[in-house]
Amino acid sequence: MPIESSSGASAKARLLRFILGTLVLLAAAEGLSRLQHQAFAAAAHRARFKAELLKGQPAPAFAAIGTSRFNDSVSPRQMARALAEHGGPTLAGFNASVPSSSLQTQAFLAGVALERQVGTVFLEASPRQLDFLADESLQEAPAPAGFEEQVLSWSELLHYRRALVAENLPRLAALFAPARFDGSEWFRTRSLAQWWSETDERPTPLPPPEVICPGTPATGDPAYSAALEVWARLSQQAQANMARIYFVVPPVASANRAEECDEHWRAFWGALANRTHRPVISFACTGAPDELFHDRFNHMNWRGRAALSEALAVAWAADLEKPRCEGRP
Amino acid sequence: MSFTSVAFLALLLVAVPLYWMLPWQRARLALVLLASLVFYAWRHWPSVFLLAGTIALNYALARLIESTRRRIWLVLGIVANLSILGWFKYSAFVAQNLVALGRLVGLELPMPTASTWLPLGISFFTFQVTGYLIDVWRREVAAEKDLLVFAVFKSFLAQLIAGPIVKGRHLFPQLHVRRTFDAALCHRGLLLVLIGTALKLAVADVIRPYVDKVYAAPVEASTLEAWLALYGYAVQLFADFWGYSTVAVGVGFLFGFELPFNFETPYLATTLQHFWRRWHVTLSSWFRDYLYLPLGGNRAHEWRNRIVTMTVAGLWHGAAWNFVLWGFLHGVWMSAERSLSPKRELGRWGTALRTILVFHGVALLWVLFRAPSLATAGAVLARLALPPYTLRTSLPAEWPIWIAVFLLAHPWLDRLLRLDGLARWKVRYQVALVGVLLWLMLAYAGPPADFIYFVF
Repeated sequence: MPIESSSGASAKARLLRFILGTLVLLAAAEGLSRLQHQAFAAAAHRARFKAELLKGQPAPAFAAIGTSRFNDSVSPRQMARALAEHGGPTLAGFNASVPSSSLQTQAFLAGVALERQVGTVFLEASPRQLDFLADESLQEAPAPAGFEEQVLSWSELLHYRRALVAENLPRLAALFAPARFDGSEWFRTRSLAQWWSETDERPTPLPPPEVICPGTPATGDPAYSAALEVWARLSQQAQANMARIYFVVPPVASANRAEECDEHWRAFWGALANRTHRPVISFACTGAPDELFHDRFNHMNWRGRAALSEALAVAWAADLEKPRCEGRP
Repeated sequence: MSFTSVAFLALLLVAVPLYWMLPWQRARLALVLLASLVFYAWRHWPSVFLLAGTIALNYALARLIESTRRRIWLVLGIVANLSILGWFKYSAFVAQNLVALGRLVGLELPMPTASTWLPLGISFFTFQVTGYLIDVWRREVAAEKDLLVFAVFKSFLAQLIAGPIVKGRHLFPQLHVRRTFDAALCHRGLLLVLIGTALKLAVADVIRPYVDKVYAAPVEASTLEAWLALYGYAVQLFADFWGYSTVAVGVGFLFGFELPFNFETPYLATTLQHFWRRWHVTLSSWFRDYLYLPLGGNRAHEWRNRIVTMTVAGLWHGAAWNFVLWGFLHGVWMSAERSLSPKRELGRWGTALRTILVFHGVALLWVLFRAPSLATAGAVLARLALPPYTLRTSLPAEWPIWIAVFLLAHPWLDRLLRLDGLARWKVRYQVALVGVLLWLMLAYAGPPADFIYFVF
């Protein structure tokens, strides 16, 4: 291969082209990050990503928001299909669940859903959802201090550079066409490999859930009073937006059932229904077969997802037809 | 100021074009000196006075050595420079050991309050200038008569803090000549600065948090995590220092100065001696020229000379017993290697096996280098070799991939950097490479961290 001259006009031209090429590259990257500011901001953060996808939906009528348990086990598409089959309307939905999310994250996403005029919100109400109460990553970053930070803060590309991590690049791409996704495609655990199986096979039906209505005599664990307050605020916000909230306790495998299907938690769900004036649909004690779970504890596989999506749709259709908790305080 | 900071980028953006626009060499040198002092003062401005003081002292001593030919000036120069180094770097270590020794003999000595002021790069510029005084004494280089030239030689920002340790006879001729702008050299400098920065931000700093995690609590690490930390630190240290040295050479090119490369695929060495000819080359040369050879070199007491040289090299890296032990073991290994190595040529597989063995030996000794204490080093080594053997890990899966890719790709990268293979690339491919590097840096750079050799 011939080597270009290292001196004279040719070298100067090469240097100039190199500098210009690099500057154009940087300017293009910075320009793209400014044009797609929201996408870059969202791609680097799982909750913000789901929020941004939700905002990009054409007309989401319902949303499911919870932890990895809900993320794995609710398919909006399957729910919509089952709802239509059981006499309900044909609606589009979105799964805004985020693995390991805190209650604060759930409240943030529920707020986005309500702002987006989502009519029905299914909130996961599980012991797992209570585990993490603080999520500092959702707070606004502090103002830049010092020379370095002030210079760096000028660049949107630097600010949201984590969007470029290989793991986040598909999210960035998805945010250019958010309407193509219903939220359930993201952050799945091992059931991901079997996602294509969900369309054809009829799910193993789940036993009907227990519906805990407001007015049930119950006293919640005072340790979780802060959680009750968060959920009560969300319930009020939903009412103000003419939206409905259903709290859902997802199914649990036999190995963990004793932990979640006991009087302590039953009393807490009762207290939740009383505090929020909304029903709690509990699958905790339904005896869901272990074959519906991929981790033998509480994460559902693709069969479980189909089953829970159908069961939720059935419960919702029934409630739409004749509210179970109507007339109760 | 760090090479990876915005402030440094801003300094280069101002200083380099201005430098080439100035028509007079002395004005250029004054600009380089000013830029170097700003660079040095950025972190801790009082250190500039120490730097200026040692410039004046060594300028005068070198002139005296040359004009009087009296050994006393050389001795005074060496003692003065090493005393400054000793005061800032080793006084706390000496005091700690004296207090501990006192306790052994039943004497309760008060522990003096340690100063937190350790001037950046003091080990490097002290060795550089001490070597220069010896070279003047040996008549290998003339004492520099121009104070401005001497000040730039001692404080040039590219090599001030962590080398390469440039000799007077290498840099003085370049400082005296007014060069015309060399676009090819500048182009190469830009590429080296970018690639060196990427080595630091996208390799060393990505691996660092996980290595730190294991060294913070080695007892809690599994066997697999301990081994990953062993390989991880070998890569982190190399990428960190190689990155620094590459930026240093690149910055030199931007100002039209050619500085020596400090690394040459050291992890492909087939002997430890070979390793030290390829790792931190300018420091190895310094110890060879100013300590090993004056001790007698290979002519007499070779074992002793090697062990003493390497032990002192260990102490140069840090004022702690783990560094001393690290250097001592390197000395023993090198001596044993010279005595025991088979004289016949090794085949392809033999060479590969020896490369792997030398790499693992070096990586194992890095444990002493990285650990904050001998106890921690012992704990890490124990987790590598002793039961319980557990493979669980909470380290991210891409981490070992990162380490493996770097180890496999670094000979190719070395050829590109050192042998200027990049010059053969079409500009559009160079820009594409810059794009990949920028992506890696943007996506993966961790929180800002100093170069490891900044503390030496």
